[in-house]
Amino acid sequence: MKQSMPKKIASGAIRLGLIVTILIAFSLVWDNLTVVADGEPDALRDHVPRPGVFPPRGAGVQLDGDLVVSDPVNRRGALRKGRNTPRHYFAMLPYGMVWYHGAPADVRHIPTGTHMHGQFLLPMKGEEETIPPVSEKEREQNPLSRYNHAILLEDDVSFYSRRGRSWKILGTEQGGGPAPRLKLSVEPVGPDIDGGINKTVLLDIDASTRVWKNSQIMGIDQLIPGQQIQVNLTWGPFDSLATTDIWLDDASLKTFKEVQRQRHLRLIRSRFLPGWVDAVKNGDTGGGEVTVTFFGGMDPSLYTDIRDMQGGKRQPKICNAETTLRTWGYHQEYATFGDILEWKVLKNPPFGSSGFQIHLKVSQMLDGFRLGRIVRAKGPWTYVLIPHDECIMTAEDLKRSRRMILP
Amino acid sequence: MTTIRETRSWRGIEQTLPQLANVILAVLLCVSADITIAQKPMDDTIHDFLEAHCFRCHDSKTQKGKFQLDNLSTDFTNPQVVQKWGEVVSRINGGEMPPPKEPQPTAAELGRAAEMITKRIREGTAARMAKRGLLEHYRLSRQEYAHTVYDLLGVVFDVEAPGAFNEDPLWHGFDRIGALLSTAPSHIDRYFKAADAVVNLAFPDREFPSKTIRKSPNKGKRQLLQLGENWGAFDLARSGHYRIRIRVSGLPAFSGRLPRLSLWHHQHKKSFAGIEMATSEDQPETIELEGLFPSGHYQIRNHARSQKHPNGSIQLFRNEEVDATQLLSTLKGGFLSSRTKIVDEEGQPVVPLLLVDWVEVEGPLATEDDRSKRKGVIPENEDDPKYTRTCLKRFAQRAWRRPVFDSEIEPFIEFITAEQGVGETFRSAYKSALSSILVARSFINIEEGSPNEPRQKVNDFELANRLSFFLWSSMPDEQLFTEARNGRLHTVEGLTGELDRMIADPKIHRFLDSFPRQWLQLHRVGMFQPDPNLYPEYDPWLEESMVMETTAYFAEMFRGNLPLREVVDSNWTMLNSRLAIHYGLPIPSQVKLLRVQLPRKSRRGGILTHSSILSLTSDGTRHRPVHRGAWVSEAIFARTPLPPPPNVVPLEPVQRDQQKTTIRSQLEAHATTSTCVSCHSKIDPLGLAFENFDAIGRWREKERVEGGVGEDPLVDASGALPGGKTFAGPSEFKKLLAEDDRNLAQAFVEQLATYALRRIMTVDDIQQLHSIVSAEQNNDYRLQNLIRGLVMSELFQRRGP
Repeated sequence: MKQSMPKKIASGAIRLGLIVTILIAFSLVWDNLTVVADGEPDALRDHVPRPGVFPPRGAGVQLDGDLVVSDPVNRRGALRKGRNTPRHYFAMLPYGMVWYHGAPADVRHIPTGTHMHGQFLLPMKGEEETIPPVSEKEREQNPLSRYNHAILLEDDVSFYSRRGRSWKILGTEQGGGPAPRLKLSVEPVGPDIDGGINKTVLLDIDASTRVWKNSQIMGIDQLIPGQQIQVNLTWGPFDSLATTDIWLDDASLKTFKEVQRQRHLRLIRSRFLPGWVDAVKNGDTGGGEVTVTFFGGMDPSLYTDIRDMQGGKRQPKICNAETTLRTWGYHQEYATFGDILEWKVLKNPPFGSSGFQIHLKVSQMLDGFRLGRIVRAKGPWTYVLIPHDECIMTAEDLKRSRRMILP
Repeated sequence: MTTIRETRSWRGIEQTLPQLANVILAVLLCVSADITIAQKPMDDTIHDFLEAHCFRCHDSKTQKGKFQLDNLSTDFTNPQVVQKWGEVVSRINGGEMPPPKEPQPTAAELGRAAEMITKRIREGTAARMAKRGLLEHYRLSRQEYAHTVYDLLGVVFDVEAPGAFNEDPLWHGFDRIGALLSTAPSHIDRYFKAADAVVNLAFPDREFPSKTIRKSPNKGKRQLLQLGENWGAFDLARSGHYRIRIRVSGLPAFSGRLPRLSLWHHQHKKSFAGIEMATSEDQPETIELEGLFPSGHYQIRNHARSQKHPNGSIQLFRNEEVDATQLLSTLKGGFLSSRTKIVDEEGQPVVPLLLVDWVEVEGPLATEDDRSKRKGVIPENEDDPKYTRTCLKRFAQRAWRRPVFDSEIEPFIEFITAEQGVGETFRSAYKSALSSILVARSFINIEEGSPNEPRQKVNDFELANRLSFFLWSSMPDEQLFTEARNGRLHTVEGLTGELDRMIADPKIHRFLDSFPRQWLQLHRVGMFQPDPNLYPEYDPWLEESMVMETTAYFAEMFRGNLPLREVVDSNWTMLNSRLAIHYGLPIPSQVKLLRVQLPRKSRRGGILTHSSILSLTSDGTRHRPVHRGAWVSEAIFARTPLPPPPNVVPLEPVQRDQQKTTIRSQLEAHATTSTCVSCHSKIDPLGLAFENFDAIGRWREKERVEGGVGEDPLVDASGALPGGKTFAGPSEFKKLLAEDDRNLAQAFVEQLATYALRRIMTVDDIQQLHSIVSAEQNNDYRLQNLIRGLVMSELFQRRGP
């Protein structure tokens, strides 16, 4: 569909915008480099997470880049910042949270190429070998590569909107050079954000850019200066900021959020709500008691679904899982029932925690019911058989899953 | 194999005139005995009651409801009369009679009337069941059949196999009451099949040499069995005597709970042998289990709990082989699997574990003893008819447990000849004859009496059978036959000598196991499986241990010839680790059931506080004080309470908005009519004394009440015996019972005589029973003495009441 051209901006401003964009991109990389280059010890930054203990808020470093490698089954992947920057391989911490379109998500929900922001920590104790070491050259190019366990990963719309930030359209202009592209000039509205763009920028838009209004795709003629928008970005030619989606109104954004929320609900209801074991009391006839803190970053209804089973006819089931949150084959069958003895709401829960703790009396103690180990709990949800390749069926599967295989 | 039908009709015995006179005399004597027992008129008290409250509407003139009572016969041996009196009791118990508009008797009068009529009904029933003709047949129970064919031919016949024999009817737990063990056509068909099977097992056409087979997990592996898991170990094609060796480690749980290795019969769904274990993982033991095993599939089971999850789903099983070189205790981080936990963080097993290296089965073993039983049964020389007759007669005498006339053997000889005439081999025809001997009524029944001569006492062979089936649940052995043949059994010395020998024989264990099971109705243990949600601790091994405690307790009392009062109160019990955990007592130092001195505050001691008794008188969800009281009345006092009136409204569960309340309180509110109160006031205190024990026999101070509001209420185990003596709880109650050891002994001997004589005791036996008990009054009524007293008594040799 032919789209009408918006108001043009002077070519001098275009050149200026391009320079600014390149500078911003460069400064982001430089910032990352300088974090480590200063060589000062920083306990918070270099905090080593341990099983069973959530890290302090703000631990690790912030990084962003396009998701260019995705291993959804093991919740791993790689971000790439620019054309010449090496990939930053990462694994999600078991309590690592993903947000997409403003709603809880899983790595599998993020299309490759999506520009993501993340908070990365050093590997959790015992997980040092999960991400294989990168080459010397790559390490030089990306000194932050060792911060390879993500506690948070989110797309631009989630990242900015969650912090009260939007963009105001200043105007559009036709770019020049070998690959002439239409530019959308935007300025930030809202607070400055660590790790975010806090200046006016030019975003690439073209026929692949989806403009959303009233939950429908509109033409770029709907982009009017002065309008406040949200965007999702990806890598563009010459390391420019290419725009994949532009949301012009809250209704559209809400639709996307709800779709993603439902998609994630469906995932967790079949794969169960993850958490880790805080306390264990073994019984000598096979049963016992287990206390579990659920991880954060989920839709609140998932927690209340389980909470509301207390005293009801149905009981939650609980099964073992790996730090990747992968369960073992037939996790539904191997899950054990539990009576909810107590549902506890924790005050000021740490980042990564849901703040909900459950104390269960179980009829079977499973191998994974050990301090700091990961478990997943099933609420009153429909029984779903999950694909075999998502499960760990054998010790060999486990071996392969415990170390990322780089593409 | 074809068999001939039993054709013996006492045809060698001719009915001569003098013998006919004897028969008539015998019939007259029997009738006269019945009259003494049952046709006596109603007691004045009850007659006055009927006259005051019943006859006005139910006499010959009015006959209200077409029911006339004033001329109702008091012949309580007549079932039709009994039915009418039963109706009277039912109406009185149900509060229907006398009608509300009529003058009302007091509760005590009503209760007494109902009780007295019921007593007469029971006397009549007992007289009817104890009635003896000239010749009586008491069918063997299926357990006795199994023991008898083993002692006869050294053959293990599985009487409990599907389709083998019908389950025997029980009378208050006893499975050997002659009046109930009738023989139906379906029995006959099974007896024929069983006889063929027994003969084929004893004399197979193809030899089954003893061999040894071994099954192991894969090379370098050990089979790990957690609680309730089993490993398909071996199949036995033939029932028989086997020696089973198992190399295994049995690792206790961190708490000290021991694993129990069980040889679990898949088809019978029960354990046929087992052992508790406590060995280290790196030093496995080779255990040996030897005995008689029925054919079928066997599993080695870590016997502790059922496969049923407390919440109803299937339990999680590992069923896996583990590397033999890696100690489980090193796997502190757990196995790499989604399944159940093996060891805790200290490397100790979370649950008791078995690690099996191999199992070896040797058999079927033919012991010298077994072979000797079969020796000379089949003639070696087929062409010697005289020798064939001798062999067959010798076998028939042993099988029928009495002297056999030549004329009784002749049809079998003719049959063998006829079969050979149509082409059968001698061996096949002879085996058919053996089968026929095993379906003869003289084999499947214990015969007492003579068709042509009224006898009040048993003869020597009948006495030998009585003794043998009483103490060994089987046929007499050769020495007992010899003593009978020599007429020495009717001498005090001869009988005492045999009694001593039989008590010292290993076969006495059959009595020590069978009698307490029947007397105490232990078949009811586990009949109503406790609800796994309410009692998740309950498991099959506990259930088995409960029964073992009680039977072993009785055996210990027998061997020690202990005073009978220790049945109800003692400071010791028989414990294994499972029971110790259940009772909250220290785990015994040895891994077997053994006598343990109870701590002063254990609250146990005596069978009334055995969890077997406490659970058999409960249902799957809660204790039943009335059932407990009725059981105490029946088993300990040998008094069966009145049956409940029809249409009794059951206790309702405590409603959600009601205050939690004990079963005792509900019962007190429940007994509303005067007849209810009259009866319950006698039964309930006997059961309420054990309110401190829950449905699976655990001690409690508070009663767990499902539903309702408020705290679980405290239990109240106090009460008063019918005589007025009060007690504050189970300990005082037990002491009161123990003090009254004469009554205990009287009731016990009655139960013992019922078991031994295969009939219900009647009022006419009371004097004899008293005599047996009185003889021991200065000797603390010791258990073995009472048994000896019964055997030496006139009652034991009398044919009927």
